[in-house]
Amino acid sequence: MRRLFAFMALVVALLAPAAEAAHPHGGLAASAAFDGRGRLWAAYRDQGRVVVRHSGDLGRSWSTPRFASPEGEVVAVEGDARPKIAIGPDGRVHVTWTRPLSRPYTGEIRYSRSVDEGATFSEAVTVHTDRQEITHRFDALTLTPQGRVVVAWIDKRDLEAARARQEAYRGAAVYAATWNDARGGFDHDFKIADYSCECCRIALLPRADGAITALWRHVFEPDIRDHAIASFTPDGAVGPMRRATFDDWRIDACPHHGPSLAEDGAGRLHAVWYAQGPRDPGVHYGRLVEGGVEAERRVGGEAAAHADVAVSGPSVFVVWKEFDGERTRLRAMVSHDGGDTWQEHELAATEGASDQPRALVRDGRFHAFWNTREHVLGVWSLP
Amino acid sequence: MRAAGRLLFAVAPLLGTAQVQAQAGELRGFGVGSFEEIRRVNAGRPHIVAFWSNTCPPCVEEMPVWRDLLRNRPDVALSLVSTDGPPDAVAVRQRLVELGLGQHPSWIFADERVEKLRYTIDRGWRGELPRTYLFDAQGRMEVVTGRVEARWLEEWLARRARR
Repeated sequence: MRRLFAFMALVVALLAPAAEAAHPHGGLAASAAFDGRGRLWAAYRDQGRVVVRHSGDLGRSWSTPRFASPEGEVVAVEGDARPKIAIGPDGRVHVTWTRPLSRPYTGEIRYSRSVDEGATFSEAVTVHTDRQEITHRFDALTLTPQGRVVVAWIDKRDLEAARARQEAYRGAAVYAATWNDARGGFDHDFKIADYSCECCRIALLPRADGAITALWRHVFEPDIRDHAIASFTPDGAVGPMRRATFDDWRIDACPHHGPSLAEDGAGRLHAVWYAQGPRDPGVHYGRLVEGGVEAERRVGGEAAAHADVAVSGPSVFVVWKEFDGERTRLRAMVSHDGGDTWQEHELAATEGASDQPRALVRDGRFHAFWNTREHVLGVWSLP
Repeated sequence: MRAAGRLLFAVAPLLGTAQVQAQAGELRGFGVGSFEEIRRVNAGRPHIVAFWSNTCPPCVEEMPVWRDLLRNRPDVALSLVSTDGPPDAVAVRQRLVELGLGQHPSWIFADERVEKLRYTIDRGWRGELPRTYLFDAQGRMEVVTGRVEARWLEEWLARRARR
């Protein structure tokens, strides 16, 4: 019976791309964030467009969906690619997404915002000044405590330039741009680093001093896909890049599995990432320090995937999903001593398709956001 | 109108899921039992199942290796499986044609429970691409994550699938 249903769903999906919400593949990819009043906001793709909704009761009920992207504009949703959402201290709702262009891998990063609590969204703009039909994809969005909107993405302009010179270039680059309120547009793009991996999400962490720390999967020589970290200011002053993880995963492949980063009250950096290095393949947690990783440990079992991390004071919350052969489980672990000791929890499970989970914090309490076929835009709170 | 026509072009092959093997140039839906089926159909001869995605540069860079294998070693069965979903069927099909693999029967993931699909193939696989499973006539398996290099494949053929 299920096979028949799956087959029918497939046929329906192919015949009616507009009915994509009903379809599966990629249709579940969502982002979520709390605003200053404690309301949860979500962005995802429905009917081909970015839609935004909010919930005042931790996901039990959601507002009417509002479109944030223009009609007819394609929105990329695959692997780590999905629309992003962030809410400013002034209540403005910021959304980014990737619009694929006609050639393979090419795209533009697009931005729109709402100044009326998500009722209407501004005309979309392209974030980067570089307008070549090349890769600008895998947008990441953050806001500084001062309310500045910063977008980073994977960019292949340097790869293309190297190719034109018939020179070698590993992977892609990470670029960023900052919204300029006075000008009403984004300032000129700036480069964070050369040689990033090509299709893993970038983690952006706003710091108290207004700088931003980025963590991404890198391609270290010759083909080591471990992570790199660098800080930069919204005005484009980029600090030195250093290696952040040391799994020594040598591979010419697309892991489709990006990292996550959070900061505790003492300024320590907590990260989760995925690697299939020779030492301990799987999902990892650790505190990132100069030249190494502290308190490193495995997250979940062999099938653990797509972890996310959030922090509140000294408490660290990690969520991930794990398929057991029948069901996909939403699992979590929490530490109240900055990542030295942990308790594990199982929050939910589903037999159907599910998105990557998100770790969120509100008023010192942790919540997991998990969009599944069975439980749309679901929220599970840590007991 | 043009888009609708192209879409139907992609649908027709997927409707033929009752067939044991996809016909030339078709894209067949890959479901929970498909890996087992590919293995059963090809039991007793060397065969290779190569998973790839249209959005994965190393996968696309690897494709000439498979095109050459088809040309030079018709005795080795090759199943190309795209892990993109049905909404990407048209783009996947177009890419296969561009890569000179349009005439070869091919598969595309057709179950939104991708973790379950991967589990039926290999419990240790969390979606890295390309991912390739090579079987010799005795069913002995080798797994490659990342790009399969032409020289490596030649060595495998010499070791496991000598003519």
